[in-house]
Amino acid sequence: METIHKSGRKPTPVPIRAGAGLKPQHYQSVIEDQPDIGWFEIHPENYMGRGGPPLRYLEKIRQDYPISLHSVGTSLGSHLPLDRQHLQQLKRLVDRFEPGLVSEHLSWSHGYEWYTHDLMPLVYTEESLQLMVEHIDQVQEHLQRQILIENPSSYLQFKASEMPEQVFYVEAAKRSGAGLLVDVNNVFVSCTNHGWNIDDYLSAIPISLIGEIHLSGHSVQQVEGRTLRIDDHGSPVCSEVWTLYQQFISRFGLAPTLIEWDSNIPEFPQLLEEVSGAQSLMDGVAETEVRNVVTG
Amino acid sequence: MKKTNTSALVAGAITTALALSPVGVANAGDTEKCYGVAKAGKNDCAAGPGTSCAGTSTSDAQGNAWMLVLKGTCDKIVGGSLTSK
Amino acid sequence: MSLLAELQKSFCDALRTAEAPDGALLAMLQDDDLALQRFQVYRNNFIVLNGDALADMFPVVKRLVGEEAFRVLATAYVRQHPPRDRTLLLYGDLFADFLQAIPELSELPYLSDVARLEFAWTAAYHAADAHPLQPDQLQDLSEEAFAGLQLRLHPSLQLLASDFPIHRIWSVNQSDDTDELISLDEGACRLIVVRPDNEVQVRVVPQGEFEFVKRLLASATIGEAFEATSQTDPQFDLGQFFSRHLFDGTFCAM
Repeated sequence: METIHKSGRKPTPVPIRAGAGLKPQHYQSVIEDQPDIGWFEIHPENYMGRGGPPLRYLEKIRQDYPISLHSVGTSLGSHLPLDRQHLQQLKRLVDRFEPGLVSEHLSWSHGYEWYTHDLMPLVYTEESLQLMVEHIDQVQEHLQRQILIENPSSYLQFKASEMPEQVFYVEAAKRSGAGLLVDVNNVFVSCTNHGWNIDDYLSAIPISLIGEIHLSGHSVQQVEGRTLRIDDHGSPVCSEVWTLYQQFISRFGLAPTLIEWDSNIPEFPQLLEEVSGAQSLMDGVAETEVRNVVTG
Repeated sequence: MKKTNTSALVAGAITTALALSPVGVANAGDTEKCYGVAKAGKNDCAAGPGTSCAGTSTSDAQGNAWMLVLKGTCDKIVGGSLTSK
Repeated sequence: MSLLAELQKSFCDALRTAEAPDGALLAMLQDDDLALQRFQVYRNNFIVLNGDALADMFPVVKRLVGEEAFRVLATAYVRQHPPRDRTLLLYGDLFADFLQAIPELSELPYLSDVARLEFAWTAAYHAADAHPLQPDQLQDLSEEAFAGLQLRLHPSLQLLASDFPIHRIWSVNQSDDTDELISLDEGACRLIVVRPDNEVQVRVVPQGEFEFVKRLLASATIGEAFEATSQTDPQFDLGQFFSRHLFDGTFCAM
């Protein structure tokens, strides 16, 4: 689905390069130093004020970089109807900033009159899947474009679940026409937290649906002698996740890849280093592919 | 009479302001001057500190026990008839 | 009720309480002897992430009571007033009232007004932008028409009056390293919070200016507001006020 806005401009596509989550702490470095970085991603909920500095910063940075909108407040998996006002605000941001990609999570945050502002776990049933598909459909209809959905990090499972997460995830995308934002760190975190097989998880993913990849750090905690991994985006990507990422892009091909760092936010150069780390792995895989074409 | 007086005073005040109004304020300078303070965004998709005990704390800000932890700069604020400090 | 609705509602109930989640919820979780701890990850996140948003909104209140006491207050607030909005930008709108209702905090009677000021600051920060009133919009009017004009104040503008010197308390506590003593005997203050362009301004204003702007906010014409203000405060100098603020973005284009 391609959107052409009133201005006649198309959204600037997010390039198949490494990008970073944009943090206000780094606005100044980004504006003054114009780092060589493929693109930035933002959470639209942080730009839903009526006006003021955040929108001005974003306006300026958008002039220099493609952006992606990664929503956290749509609550696609909620039993409650989607919030029209939130959808309208999202649409306004999409129209104004013309992002190359728009995404949301396989999750819910609205269970009552109030919002958790944290990504809550889904029960993987047919009922829940149908609702998810309906909600993705409504968002795509409202925005008049395709969205990507992201696999969550989770810490618990419901007995009532009828299918593995990856089946639910891929099915939701297939039925709604959405694409997949595969968070490789989340795959690792959830699989290790629940004892799922990582290869089984990845084998369910159709190459053609992958639109974006996320990477981030997580923390490791010991609970009653067992390990729980918590997706706190507060440290560098760990070596296991780098390895998994390299295997992933070798197997599925390249996609725009984002480094998320949301707590214990580092100075900008350290974030750039992580982005370069992802970029070199992408470059490595791209080179191998070229060699294979030449020699194969 | 009063009405006329008000009108004249208001007109005088606005005329003065018009005469003083600067022409085009230059807004050069650093990033913060151009765009304002960069306040941290509050929504994100990261988890908090995991299993540490914040969510299980039963403190409900009732009763005096928690006041023992009142250790901020409020001890630098003195005087006033309402305080018992 | 569908399974999904039931599950999400009991999950939300359990997020909000400090007590152990009820058996019905735990019975819905796959049990590997860690079910409770696994649930607690979500409850922790809910309390901490929303509490962090409050800490970000109210840094001075946090400094005044200290980190640990602020956490207690924030946790209680999150449980009592979970976020009603899709974004966290203005979470904490009831925090000042919440603080005011806590009997133990009556020893810090200024605290809730400081919270009001901090909330007003962030509300101004995210308020709608507006073009400032320009001289040429008034230049063509006849002088007789001025008194009958209704000026539009910037959408970010808010008035705040306190019995306590909250502006001093707020400015002195902008950074951690403060050693300054503040006496509550400095007394009341009246503030205008406004963001004419990029920068949120907190202005300490005299009574006359406060009353005049208050009347303009209530849609009085310049003449009406001036007359009413002159009665309560004959010292009010309209010329000086307009010279400073008529074209500085306090007022926006008509």
